[in-house]
Amino acid sequence: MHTVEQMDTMEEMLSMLLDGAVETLDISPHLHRLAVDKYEEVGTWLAEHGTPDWRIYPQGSFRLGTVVRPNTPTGEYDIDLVCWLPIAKESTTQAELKERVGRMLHAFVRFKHRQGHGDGPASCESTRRCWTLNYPDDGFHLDVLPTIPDADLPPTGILLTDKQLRLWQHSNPIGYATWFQQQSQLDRRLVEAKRHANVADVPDWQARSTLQRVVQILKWHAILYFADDTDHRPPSILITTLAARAYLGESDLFAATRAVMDRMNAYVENRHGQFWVPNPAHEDENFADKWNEYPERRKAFLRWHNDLAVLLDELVHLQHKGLPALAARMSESFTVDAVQRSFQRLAERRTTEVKTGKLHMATGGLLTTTAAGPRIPRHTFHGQHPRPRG
Amino acid sequence: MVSIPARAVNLTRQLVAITIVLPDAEGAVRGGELTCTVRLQPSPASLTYTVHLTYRHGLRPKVTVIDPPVLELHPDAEALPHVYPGDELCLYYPGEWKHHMLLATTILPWTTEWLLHYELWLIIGYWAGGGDTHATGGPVHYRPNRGA
Repeated sequence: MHTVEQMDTMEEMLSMLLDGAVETLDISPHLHRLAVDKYEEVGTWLAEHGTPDWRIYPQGSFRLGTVVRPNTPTGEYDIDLVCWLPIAKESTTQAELKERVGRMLHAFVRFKHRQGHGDGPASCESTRRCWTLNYPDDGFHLDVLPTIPDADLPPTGILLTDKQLRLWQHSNPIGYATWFQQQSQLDRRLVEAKRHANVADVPDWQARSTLQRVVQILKWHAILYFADDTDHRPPSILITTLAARAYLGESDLFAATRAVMDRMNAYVENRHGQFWVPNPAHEDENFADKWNEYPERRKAFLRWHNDLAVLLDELVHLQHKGLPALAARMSESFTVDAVQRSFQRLAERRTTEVKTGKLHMATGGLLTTTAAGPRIPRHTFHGQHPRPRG
Repeated sequence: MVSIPARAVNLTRQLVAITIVLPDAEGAVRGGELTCTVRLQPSPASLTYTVHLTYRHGLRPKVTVIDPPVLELHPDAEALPHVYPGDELCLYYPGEWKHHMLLATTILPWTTEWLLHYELWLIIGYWAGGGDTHATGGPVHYRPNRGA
């Protein structure tokens, strides 16, 4: 588990600062709860209005706990949902499936509108293979993907339509999430913490795993790196899969991020001359398929990967250079606001630690919560220079 | 003849205590004054600051940063926060430090904490280390807390 408790080394300090920054881009517990309430409301309504065996459940980063706020003008979170209809693929077409789900969702929107509480979706729009329920006042939208069971991959395999509504594609978001969670638990501290603490009832978002945070850092950097070139941005699922494959259970966030960066490219396979990153929950699905079609996308990925690795090295080398130099370098590659807030959080944390008697001074003047140097007595910084320095 | 207030820690003992906590401290006691230079790095990413401390019984311990020779200011600020004239660090509220206390376990930890908050102030633009400020309009009058 990524519990940042000490920062006696540069790596620990970077872990704390990156964790604090990425936390500000994560979905807040409040918004998380609200989004769950909203899609559960859709599910309940569907069940009560003639489609009791349809299922609505989250997929993608919302399910994995790796959400990063997009850098769009609204900063609205995309929350990806599956709408699962228990029908055989022989008994429907892709277009018909999408229409069927769309009719029900439109009926739901009208129902909410008639209720007049103002808490329903503002609109329901068709977006390629999905339906999007917009909640602009809440800062998110729900992308509902119509799916049916994949008879070849029970119980969690699903079929969804391609973007042209012509072919069926295989997917398995529940299986993928299970795999991702297993990778997270390579960190024994996470498993231990769950065993000891009373966390059975604590939702996942209250304690992100180190792997979840690593994925968020990589995605965050990629979003900004490709801000003006989104076509070349590596898909989230590709970054997430390579990172989770490369993760070996490191607890420290910075150490884990560097180790994952070092190893992740080795998990790109070559299958008969094709670049291949298999979906761990569905071997035949290739998350790198676009690289074979558009070689420049692979080059863009490699360029991004190299630049992030260089950045991480540079951050370590800013040891002894002063916190402002570190903040400046972090702000160049990450969101300035998030970096600022992380340093604010560090300052507040240290102040609280003095108040509660947890902070000590170790050799060299290092402030620490672990070493046994003199404890910092409570005191009050006093005074201000009376005149501007001329 | 000035009498040393009761219970004040002997200056040599103060210096010994400092060198136990910070082994590379360099200092001396001469003519009733302790002078000492220490190097402090409050966090792994921080600069290492050279700090000069002077102390005489009956007066407040005086702490200044000598390296870097000039402490930078935040772009929005005209002066350093929490300092006396001459950029002497202002580390405690009068009365919080008393002469029976060891400099090594009070003034020096507060100094390293000041340095951390100074670096953070350069980044975030406000002092997050707590404490209060004097009015900025007039000169600061400080009365040493004799024998307190």
